[in-house]
Amino acid sequence: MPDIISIDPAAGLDAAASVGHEVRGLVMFTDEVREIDRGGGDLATHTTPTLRLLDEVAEELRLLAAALDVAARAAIAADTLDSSSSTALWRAAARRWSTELWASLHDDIGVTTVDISQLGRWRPDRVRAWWESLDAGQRIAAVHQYPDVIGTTDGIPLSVRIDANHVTITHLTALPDHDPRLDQYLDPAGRPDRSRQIVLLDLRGDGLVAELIGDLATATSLAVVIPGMGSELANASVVGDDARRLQGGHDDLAVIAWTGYDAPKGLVAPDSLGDLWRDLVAADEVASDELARAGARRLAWFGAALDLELDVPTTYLGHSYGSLTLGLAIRGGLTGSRAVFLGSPGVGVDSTSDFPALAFLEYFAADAHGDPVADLQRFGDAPTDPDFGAQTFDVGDSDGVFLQLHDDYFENDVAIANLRTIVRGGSPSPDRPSLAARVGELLDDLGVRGAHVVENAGEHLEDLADDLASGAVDVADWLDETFHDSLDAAVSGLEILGGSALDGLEWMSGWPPSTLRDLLPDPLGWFD
Amino acid sequence: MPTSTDYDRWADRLHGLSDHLLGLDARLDRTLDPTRLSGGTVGPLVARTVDATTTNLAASRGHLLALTDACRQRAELCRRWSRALDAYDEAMHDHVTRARTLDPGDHLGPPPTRPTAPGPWAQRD
Repeated sequence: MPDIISIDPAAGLDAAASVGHEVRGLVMFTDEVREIDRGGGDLATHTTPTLRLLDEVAEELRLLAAALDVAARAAIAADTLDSSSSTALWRAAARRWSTELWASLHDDIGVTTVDISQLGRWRPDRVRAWWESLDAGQRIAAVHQYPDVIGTTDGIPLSVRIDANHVTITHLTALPDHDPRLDQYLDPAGRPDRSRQIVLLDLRGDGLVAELIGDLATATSLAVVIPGMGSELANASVVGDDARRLQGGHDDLAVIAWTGYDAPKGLVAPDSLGDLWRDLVAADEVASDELARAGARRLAWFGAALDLELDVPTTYLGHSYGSLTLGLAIRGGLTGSRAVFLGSPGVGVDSTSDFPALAFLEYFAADAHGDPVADLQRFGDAPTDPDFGAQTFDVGDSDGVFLQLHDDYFENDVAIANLRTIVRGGSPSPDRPSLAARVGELLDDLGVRGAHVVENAGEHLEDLADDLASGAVDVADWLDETFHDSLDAAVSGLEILGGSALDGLEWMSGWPPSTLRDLLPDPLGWFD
Repeated sequence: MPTSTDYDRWADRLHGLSDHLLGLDARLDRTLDPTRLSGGTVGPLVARTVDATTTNLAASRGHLLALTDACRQRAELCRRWSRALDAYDEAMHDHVTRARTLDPGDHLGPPPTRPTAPGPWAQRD
């Protein structure tokens, strides 16, 4: 039986009724004390604290009675379901049950009735106002009855969303045929992991999820990481791990890994026609900004909800297609402290001046040298372009090749250190020329030095000839001293470039895989 | 203003309420049996409420017992004051009677002093 409802239903209902009875008796007695207080005896010294305490006790017991009642009814509802019931059946039953309970709570404790299933359509400030109008008992009831709605609605406090999503995970993973995508939120013993702070969980389609890393009670800076192509609930651990590396166990940092939008599907090396079809769909999705536009609306609301609740500077980091989502969200009203575009194919504008004034205090951008996605500029000029107006910074050198270069922004120490600096409000180390550019510079330098040497040699040829002839200068030493540093650097750079090229060729040689080779026509024998 | 009778009645009710709170605490301990209601997220809520309620009920009982004592003391003070006022009334009556029948040259003496009320909260029975 799910953890949330693992109480004896009969005991729960009995206790709820008994506690409710005690509350009514206590209220009657408290009224007598109130009567004595009004009796003119000037006994306020004693009656005031007494009345305050008794009112508190009555309130606590009233809330407890409501919670026991909810939990007991949940247990009864779960017991009535067949153990092989599907998630959909469970949810439908839970919905019927909770609708009835909501109505009964309305009668019992005066809940202001709203169509809670429509809550997600409300603006975050309206949701917030509604939530604050509820008393503690009503909030408990709402979390237990509508965990899927409460856990996904912007405007509900993050701590409550975490509780609600834990309830959802607890309910759903208790089912024998539960969604395997939820397994990542179970501890090694197979129980829901209470330490995970899930602030968004929606199982529909590819799924939406957001996880908070760190402690908001101690954090003085918050980062929101928006991942790109291929991100979905099933692989949420990827961006989750990125967020963990960025947070790095620092108490002053909190990071939210926000896969709160439907990102384009990722490309996979096709091993079947199914994979090939998936790639074609993905290519179509990633070529369009449609999903980013839908995601931008969600991100803007999520950010608005954070603004309502938190008072810490927030930095948004969009990676890849997520940077386009971020850029469009800023155009649509998202505000924050700093915005960072990483490996961006374009952010929907060609300049920071196209963003609303004062939406963000500062903009940053970085590309790994050779990142093929960043080179696309499919959705506008690269934010690393000097004319864009963002500050560029160093993300280090990646050991990867081709697409790996695009996925390493949260992997290397230089990038992580600079990203933390930005999130904390500091200045990151500036971008460096690419490896190829550096090698080119070295080669140019070598040429200049060579020409200089020849020129000098020409000017002092006679002296040099005399020195060499007399043995005053050793020819080998002279050559070594003149060319050594430049040659070493050039050779080292060429070795690195050569290694990367060989890695790339090796990677490409494995494609197309054998299964696909058999299916494709190959009249010229390219696959042989 | 309350009389000694009011204060006595209040003291009795407050004492009864104090006893009721003692019983309520014991009943809640039985009703909210942790072995039956410890499961799930409601378990910690039960434990937390029982702890908070026990603390608040104990504090409430302390205030109620102090309030009961205060009411009993006031009832006693009201009674004493009322008796003193009765004696004063009688002495004043004698004083007035003697004044009316006083022969020339006799000395009447000072009138009796009216007892002071124990507080603004007191009313003569």
